Amino acid sequence: MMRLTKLALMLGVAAMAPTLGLAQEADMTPPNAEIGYILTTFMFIVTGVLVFWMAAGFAMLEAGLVRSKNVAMQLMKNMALFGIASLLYYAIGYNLMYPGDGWSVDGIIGAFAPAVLEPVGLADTETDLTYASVGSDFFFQLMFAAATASIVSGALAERIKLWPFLAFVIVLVGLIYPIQASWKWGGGFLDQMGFLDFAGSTVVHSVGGWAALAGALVLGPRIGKYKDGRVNPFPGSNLTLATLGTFILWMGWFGFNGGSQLYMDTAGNVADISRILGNTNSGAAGGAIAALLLTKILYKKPDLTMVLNGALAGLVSITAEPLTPGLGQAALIGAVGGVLAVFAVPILDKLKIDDVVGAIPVHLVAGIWGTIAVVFTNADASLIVQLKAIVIVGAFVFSVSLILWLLLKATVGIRVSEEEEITGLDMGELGMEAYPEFTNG
Amino acid sequence: MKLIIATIKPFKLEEVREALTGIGVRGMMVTEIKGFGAQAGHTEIYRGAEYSVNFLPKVKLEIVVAADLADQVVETIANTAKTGKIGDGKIFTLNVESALRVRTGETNEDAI
Repeated sequence: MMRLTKLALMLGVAAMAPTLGLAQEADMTPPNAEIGYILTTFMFIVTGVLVFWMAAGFAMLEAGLVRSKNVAMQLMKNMALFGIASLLYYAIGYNLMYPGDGWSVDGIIGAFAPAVLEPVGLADTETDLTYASVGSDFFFQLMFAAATASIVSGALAERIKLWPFLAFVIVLVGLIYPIQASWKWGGGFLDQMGFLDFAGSTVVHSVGGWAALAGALVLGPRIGKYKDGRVNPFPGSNLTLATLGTFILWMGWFGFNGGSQLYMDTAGNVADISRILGNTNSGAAGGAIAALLLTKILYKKPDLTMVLNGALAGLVSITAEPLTPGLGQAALIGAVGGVLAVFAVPILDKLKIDDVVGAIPVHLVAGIWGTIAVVFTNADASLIVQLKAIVIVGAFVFSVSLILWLLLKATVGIRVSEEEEITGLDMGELGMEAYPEFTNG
Repeated sequence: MKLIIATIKPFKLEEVREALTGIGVRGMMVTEIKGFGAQAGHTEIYRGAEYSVNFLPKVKLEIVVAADLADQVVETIANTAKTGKIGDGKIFTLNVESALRVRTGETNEDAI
């Protein structure tokens, strides 16, 4: 007993020793010049982790909205695309999107070089203390690129082959996304035109939506979805997971929009970030309530899957300008997004465009609306410029995606066999099921 | 021996089980099923598209009893599962040729 007490005492002293020593030798308070850099960097790390978590949201939402025979495949696509996005954004995407002064074609195509972080401990570098560490910026921006790819995955569910989908993701995250994003966020020609897109209603969401639309057109609808002029619903396998996924996305969006303030070095910037979080939440709430009421009126019973889409459409709508609106205005902007999504779902079905999870209504339709809605609360925005940017980005992403999907279709084929589609992609593509009904357990 | 197959409303299962245990039934097999009968189906809307729900959830009971108990079992199920509303279910009685208890090898009425 005595020996134990003695040991504990010695350990206690040993643990305290470094603190005591340092307190005498050095003042650990960071210099004033570094405080802004530290806080902004810290902000990017925290918001980047939040945006990362949206990958889980997309995975759960999509897993819940597909039929049980395709769930494992949907999860596989989400895991794989996140890995691919991480590597491609490092290898090509980051510098293509943020070339600084190193444009290959001025304002249009950025630099071709892999991302490089600061040396350990910022050794021997002249660090620009007015912004944040390259590491935190890379980490934060990478998550946006991955989110774009996640959007495509849901729309094309239940019939696409794994490898051609991943091949598309490589080009989307390595080239399509960073090139168009450089036009605005890299300081390219759309930015110089005065285009405003705070966190990416156009740059992220509509891009995912356009790529998904091109894919859905080339891929065709699921077998039996449109038969004899009727739309046959394929109810999702797990609305509990779909709802969890939506709440995770809603949460991640606080990082998505909040971090896009890009600075947390002054009282004004911190106040703006809190304003953005409040507005982002209002946008989602407005979208969800609008979808709840509208589906009740249209269909007599409210449709949960549409309310989930409505909340997400509200979030997408507020993403282009989450700072300048008031809380009420943000709710209205989100509500219009929710209404548009609810109407867009049956319209796509009329056109026989089979979008399994509603990615096109949520990310493309509400993305366009949100980009236009900037002009209502931000006096610096011009409607003509916003529309121009929507058309330019849309034309670029849709046409390049369409060509790529057609190429993939003509060469390796993008659709599983009819038999495999009927049996389910889980067994056909992966040889395993998310929900095995009979086991040897 | 008789095999009694009954389809009942799922929420009535526990009540029926209790009543049957009370008259000496010592085992039953239960399956969640879907089907249609007089109740037929109805239409619902999912993401803006109408679809018909043609099969409704029911619980199927399969009970093997000695022949002299069969009538009482049928009567008990009928009384307990009845709500008076459409969709209460149906009961069928079949002859059973043989029974065997796997553990002991006992046969027929000793096995049930």
